[in-house]
Amino acid sequence: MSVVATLNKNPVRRNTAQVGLFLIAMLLVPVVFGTGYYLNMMIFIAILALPALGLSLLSGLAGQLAISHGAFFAIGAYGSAILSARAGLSPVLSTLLAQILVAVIAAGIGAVVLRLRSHYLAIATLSFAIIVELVIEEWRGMTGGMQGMLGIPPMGLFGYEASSDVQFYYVYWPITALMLLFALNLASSRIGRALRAIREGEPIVSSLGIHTAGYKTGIYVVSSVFAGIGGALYAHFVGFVTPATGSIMFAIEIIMVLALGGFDRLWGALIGVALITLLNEYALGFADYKKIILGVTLIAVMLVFPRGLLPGLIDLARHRRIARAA
Amino acid sequence: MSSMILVDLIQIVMTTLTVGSMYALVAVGVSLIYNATGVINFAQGEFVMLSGMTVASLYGTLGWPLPAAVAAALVVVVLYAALLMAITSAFAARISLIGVLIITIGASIATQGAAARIWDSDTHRFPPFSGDDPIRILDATITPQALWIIGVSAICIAGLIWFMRSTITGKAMRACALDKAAATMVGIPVRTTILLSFVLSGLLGAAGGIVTTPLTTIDANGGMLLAIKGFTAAMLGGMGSIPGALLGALLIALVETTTVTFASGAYKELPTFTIIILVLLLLPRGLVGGRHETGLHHDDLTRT
Repeated sequence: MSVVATLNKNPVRRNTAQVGLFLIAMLLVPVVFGTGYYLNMMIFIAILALPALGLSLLSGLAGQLAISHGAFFAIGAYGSAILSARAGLSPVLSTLLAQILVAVIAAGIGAVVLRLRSHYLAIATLSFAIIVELVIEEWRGMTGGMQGMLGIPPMGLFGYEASSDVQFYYVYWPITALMLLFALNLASSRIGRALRAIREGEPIVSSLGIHTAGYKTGIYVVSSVFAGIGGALYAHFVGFVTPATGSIMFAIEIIMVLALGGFDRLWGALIGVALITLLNEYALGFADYKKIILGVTLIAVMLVFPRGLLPGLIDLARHRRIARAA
Repeated sequence: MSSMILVDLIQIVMTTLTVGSMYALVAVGVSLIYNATGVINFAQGEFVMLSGMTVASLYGTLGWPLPAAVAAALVVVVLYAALLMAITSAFAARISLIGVLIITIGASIATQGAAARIWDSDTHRFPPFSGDDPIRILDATITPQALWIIGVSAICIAGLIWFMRSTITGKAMRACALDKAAATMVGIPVRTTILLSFVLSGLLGAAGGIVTTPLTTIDANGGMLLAIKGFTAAMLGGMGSIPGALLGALLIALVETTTVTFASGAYKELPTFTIIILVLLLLPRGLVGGRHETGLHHDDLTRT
């Protein structure tokens, strides 16, 4: 049996092989292309991939859309910033502790709002996002209010702190790759199958004795922690956070990422993040033009390819090939 | 002492009615579009913003007569509503409801960006219709514009309720909301009815923008929060019910006004959004009991 056939039989091995190859390729990039400003952009892709992967898990497995991922990104960022800058914890420890905060809040909110579906869920999570933004703006003693927080220590452990873009690159991309592997394995595990079954028909699944509410809250917590880790990595990279860090515009940008990469594709989310980051960098100088381009692109993609741009294009290519073969 | 309480009370009631009227215009608009299409229109606040900005620049800056500026604003909003109807229902059958929600989010931010290009990102206003001299009731003060807001909103919503209950077109709209297939079978032009819902909804928002801008000012990004308040109110009352939307809007305005009066202005949004999460949980059909949405159809993003 060939290696490929063996890998195809076991999804965990296949995922590990794919992500392993991807990570090796990513780690070789600075070796081949040298250092430069582009590394900064690549680090942002690694960071922003996390909330996108999180939302992709929720929309791909549960078929639901939450507008709360910007808020959890902010909670992760502010949580880790406060723990490291104000309480003096090591950034690694503060990043992990902030995730406990994210998980507890997500479990509380998730247990409540996931009884809702469709746009009711979207509105409820949007309301939560507005509350978080408000608390961040008004709790000046803790969060610094509208001015935000400065002087957040860079990511590091035992006195070794990442100080250059290359170092951040080599710390952050392995983390993102590991999270991607976790997400891929989760999607192809028994839990992923149960969630997809719930998406297809919740009453039937719960009549088979599967605790549907628990699964849904669980995936919401996991999905939110992805965003929370992204937030903490962001805070320890740029060194400051402001209320704009997790604003509603940011949540909409993550939805945009999925609209580009596909709502049920984890690799697609990664490609979507890369596209958005490139767009932000080169095409969207002014904030107003950015809003127009984002809005119009969102409308166009949803009208033409409701499952997302990338899956739509893949389908289109496949149809062409079948048509030519026939 | 008791007169102090009375003054506070009058002030709270008047502020609630003023703010509530604005929210009601948006909430009733949300309900109209929801009834026609099953979609929550995220771009509802843009009707308010576009009309406010148009009148501010034509009447306030260029010095057109007020009626001409108002007419121009109504034309702008009707065209915008028709455009919104076209993009949200062009392929509605293939797109999930969340997909259409995402389209309206896209429309909302694109409109904000376009408005910031056409005008700018500053706040705009124009002079109130009947001057700035406050009216005194005991020791409470009310600006004349507040009376305009309450009056115009009351007339618009009463007119809409009369239209929906008593005219044949209004009845056709209600029939469409209940069952599109059956409505088609008895010969109701469904697409025209949906277009009418969008236009009426837009006109309500436009009326709101025109009467409130002198008091509250407006900027290019001001629509989104209003839209969120609007569908919060509509959900609180019961999605799809016009009296429900009115009730929800007044309740939210009351909660906000009391929070601002007795606690702090900074946290005025906090109770509102806590309430909406609670209502969605405990009373998913709202206070009045709107149309129940089971959410089992067309709500999956991964399929078409």
